[in-house]
Amino acid sequence: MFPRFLHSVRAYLPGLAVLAVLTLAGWWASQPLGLPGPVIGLAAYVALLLAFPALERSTQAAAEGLLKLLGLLITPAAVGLALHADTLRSEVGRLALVVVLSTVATGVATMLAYKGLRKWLG
Amino acid sequence: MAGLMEMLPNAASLAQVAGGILATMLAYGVALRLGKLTRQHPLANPILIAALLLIAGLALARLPVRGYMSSVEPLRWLLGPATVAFGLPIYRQRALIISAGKALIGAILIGSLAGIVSAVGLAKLLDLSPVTIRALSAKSITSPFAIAVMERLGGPAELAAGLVIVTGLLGAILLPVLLKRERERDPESYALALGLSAHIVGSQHVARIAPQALSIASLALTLAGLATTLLLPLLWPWIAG
Repeated sequence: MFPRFLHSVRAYLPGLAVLAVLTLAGWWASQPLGLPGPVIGLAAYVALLLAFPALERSTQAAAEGLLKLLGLLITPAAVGLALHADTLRSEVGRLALVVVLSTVATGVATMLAYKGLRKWLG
Repeated sequence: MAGLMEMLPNAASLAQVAGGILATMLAYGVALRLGKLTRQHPLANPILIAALLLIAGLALARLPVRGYMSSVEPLRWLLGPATVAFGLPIYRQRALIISAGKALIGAILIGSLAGIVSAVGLAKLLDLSPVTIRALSAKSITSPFAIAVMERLGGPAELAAGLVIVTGLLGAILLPVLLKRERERDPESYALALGLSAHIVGSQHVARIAPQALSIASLALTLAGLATTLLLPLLWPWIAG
């Protein structure tokens, strides 16, 4: 068990370190750039991967692992919805209408835009 | 250990942290099993089921939601690196981005704009509360992006994350019915529409129904997250005004 544990530490640690540093760098750049820190970190990660393709192998275990964990990481925020129960209760009907209409409109607009642009740009 | 305690906002004890995280993992594990049993039906969304289980559990044990939220703060620290990790699928799909090119990027920008404007415009028309309008502006991007952008702009992160999930469920149920003909005729556009408007839940639907177009759906969901994140600060004066 112990060697296997060491092996997975070796597989995850470099990637986790890179992602943590990028998260901190994004957080630090977030104030001057006016954008969310994690999104700046994401852009920096893509730029680094393009510049150093070898980074894909050393970070993929950590990146894939974290992406698989996303649902678990978001669950607490969804629980936090209970804190807004009063707001939600008073506008649930109108809110449902907005979400339904807007979601359908967004999907249809995206599809038509893609069809139109594809034809137009050849 | 003392250092860790100071980092937790409401000074939750280590036992509370362990309890909160274990309860979350347990609820999420049960929700994942339910999802498998129903072959990932949109309504069996694991995040939604896990959250409902936890809310019910907290209510039964008469524990405050806020206490739970601060006990699971360590999970939230991981959300930042997990969002950064989206860079890997974007990098791996660079060939697809280049080949589908301008039409794809253009459609994602137009779709993201349509998502924000239709939600905020309708909400203003129906006179919803300012806090709900802010949360709705991020409803068509996947939760980690929605949480990041709300935290940056000072919007309600939890409400936005909740609406994101509801949007995903409704989109993955309604759009396949409305766009049924396109599924056979133009699977690429179909996948793009679902990935953009119903993000992860929509992509899961595409994975089941039109797996050949899954890469388009997941690309749409990540790039729409980026596009919306860039558009929201520009539109924020209108959204919050």
